[in-house]
Amino acid sequence: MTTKATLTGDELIATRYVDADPALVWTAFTTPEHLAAFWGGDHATIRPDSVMVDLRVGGAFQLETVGADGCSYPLRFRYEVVDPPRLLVFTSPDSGIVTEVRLEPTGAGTTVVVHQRRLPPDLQTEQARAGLTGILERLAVVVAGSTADPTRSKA
Amino acid sequence: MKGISTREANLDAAFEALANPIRRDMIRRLARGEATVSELAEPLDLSHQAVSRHVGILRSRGLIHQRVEGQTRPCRLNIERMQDIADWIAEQQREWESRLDRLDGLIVAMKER
Repeated sequence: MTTKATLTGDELIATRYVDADPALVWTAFTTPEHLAAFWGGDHATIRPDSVMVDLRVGGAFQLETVGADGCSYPLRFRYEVVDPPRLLVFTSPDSGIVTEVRLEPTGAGTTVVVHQRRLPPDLQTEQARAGLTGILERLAVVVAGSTADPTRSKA
Repeated sequence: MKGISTREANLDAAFEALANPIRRDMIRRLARGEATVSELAEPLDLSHQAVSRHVGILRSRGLIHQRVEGQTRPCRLNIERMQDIADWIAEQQREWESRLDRLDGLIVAMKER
């Protein structure tokens, strides 16, 4: 049996050490030109002119992917937490998937930690989302506090 | 497309059921094998009514099967549904791994500028 889900309701999707400081990694994650270069991974390409980044809580993050079959799929997300250069949280209103990208300073580089969870359908309304934003903002404060870094001053 | 939306609805229901620590504990217990409602209730400090409600949610969201056997109602995991969840997570993991591979290469190029 290959079932290996940890079932915490908040799944660790990926973690990766990148040889650059969090500020540079943050730039890669929030600049349309760079997003177009890496977001598709090996499964899709991104139309460079389709990437739109409105980097603020409630702002939209949109892009269009072209899969191996040649079909294009528009993706749209909504930023829930924007805390440079350490935490980016966005939701997909279509699927209810919440993605959290955390950038942890590690030596001279950065560890990128990606978590995902699904937002139950009854929380996908605007009103509930406003509440969620509050929760996630508190989470951002907690995360910032628990990884308190004395060099943090430029945020 | 119909298949995909059914799958999505099943996943939504499953994740909704899993968004609760007591129900996740029950799932972990059931991963070791079939259990009656009383056995599920044993390690929990909950009323019988509360336990039944959680079991009902797991059943209605398709995560467990329950049968009647005399006075007891043994529960067991719906392996197919658990596998769907695991597959979905694995798919997200694959996409993000390849995305971060690309990010790694991009970062090198950005530093050389």
